[in-house]
Amino acid sequence: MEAFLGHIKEVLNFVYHNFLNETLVVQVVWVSIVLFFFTFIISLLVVVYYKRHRKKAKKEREKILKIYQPLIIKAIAGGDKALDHINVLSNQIKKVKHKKCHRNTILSIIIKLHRSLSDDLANNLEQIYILSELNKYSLKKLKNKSWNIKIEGIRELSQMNCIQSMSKHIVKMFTSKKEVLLFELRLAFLKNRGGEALNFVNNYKNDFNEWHQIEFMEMLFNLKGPTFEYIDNWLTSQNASINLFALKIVKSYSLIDKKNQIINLVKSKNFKVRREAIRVILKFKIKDAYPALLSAYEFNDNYFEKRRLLSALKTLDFENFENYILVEQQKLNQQFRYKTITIKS
Amino acid sequence: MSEKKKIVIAEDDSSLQLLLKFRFEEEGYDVFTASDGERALELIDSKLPDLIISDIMMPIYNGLEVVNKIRSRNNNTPIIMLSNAGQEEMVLKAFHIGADDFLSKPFIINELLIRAKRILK
Repeated sequence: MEAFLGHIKEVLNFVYHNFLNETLVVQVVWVSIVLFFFTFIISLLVVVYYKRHRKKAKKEREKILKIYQPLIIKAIAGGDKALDHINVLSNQIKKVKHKKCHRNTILSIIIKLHRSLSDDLANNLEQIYILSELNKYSLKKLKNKSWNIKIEGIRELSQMNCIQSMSKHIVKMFTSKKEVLLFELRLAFLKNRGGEALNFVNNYKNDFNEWHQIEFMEMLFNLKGPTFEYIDNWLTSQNASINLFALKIVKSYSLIDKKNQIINLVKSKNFKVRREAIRVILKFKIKDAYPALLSAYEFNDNYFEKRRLLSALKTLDFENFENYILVEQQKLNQQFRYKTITIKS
Repeated sequence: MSEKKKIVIAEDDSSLQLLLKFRFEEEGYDVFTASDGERALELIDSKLPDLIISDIMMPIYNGLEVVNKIRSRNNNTPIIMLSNAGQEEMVLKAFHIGADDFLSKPFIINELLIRAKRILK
């Protein structure tokens, strides 16, 4: 052993002396190589540790899932004995809820099931959520500094119909500048209070983006008979994204009585609004839109938009305007030929 | 003694899948479950079920593809689709290609049982 250590010492001494005798450039290269080697080894160890940790966590989650999935299902679908099962299970969950992995896995089972079920079974899930005090953990998330954790808490409480327990935190959260967080709050209110929660749209000046529109529409579909008191304002709003949202509502809830406002949107400055308005007009076959479409066609210079408008005119009333449509179609075809010739040349 | 009716349930949410299996077995049916469209088609071919319950959004093959493939094999087994809110267009497509009934999530499980019983009568 001593001989071996002595040998290593000799090698290190040799390397050290040679290193000192080298030029600065070579020394820098050597240091870089050694640093790179150590960084590589450390990164490799971190990746291996992280992978093993994730694998272990996944295994644990699966184990917990196997235990609690059947217990939760038996408890909620237990018929007359459901209440007893719920009480026993809630006490059981209370004992393990301090363990993060247990808590998260159980919460995910309850919330996913609640999204798919209604009536008694959904009520039973809500009871488990409250009796096992998992709602307290969702409330705790609202106090977290990270907005994504706050959103998680809002989603859980809103899904489990516990939005009232959020009231203490709501005022503070509504002062947030994080638009994503505000939207999540509005969504939660929409689920809880229905169409009334859409009042914010009246004075909304920012971009109501497509993703949020889809989320709101999805939530609206879950409500029974939502009313849209202010839809006239939305259809005449100066905010194009609000016009688009209003048109989506008109299309989904067949609000054909709003045809005058829809026709007016054919003149909108925003291309997407004009396109969507034409789609709605065609869907409901609003023949009163003919003059507006005709005037839009005549004053428009964009080839593709002209095509769209002409096709709409053709669909709405071909019989009475056959000659006009055919002549214009020929003009457009010629225009297209000139365009392609110019591009090719 | 009459043979138990067979049902194939295709649903990717394991908790809902287990709940449906539990409730239908309680009602005396033989239940086979799949978490994706491909496995569902394998089960349908091997078990020859009397009823298929399929979610629309599933990995590998979605519900519409499953219905399409079943009907293209001249298999007329009744199919109940489970859809999410806002998937009305998908449901219409499903009816067009041969689905027999649909329920929108969140649904009442007893309603699904009643519909299944009515179809299996």
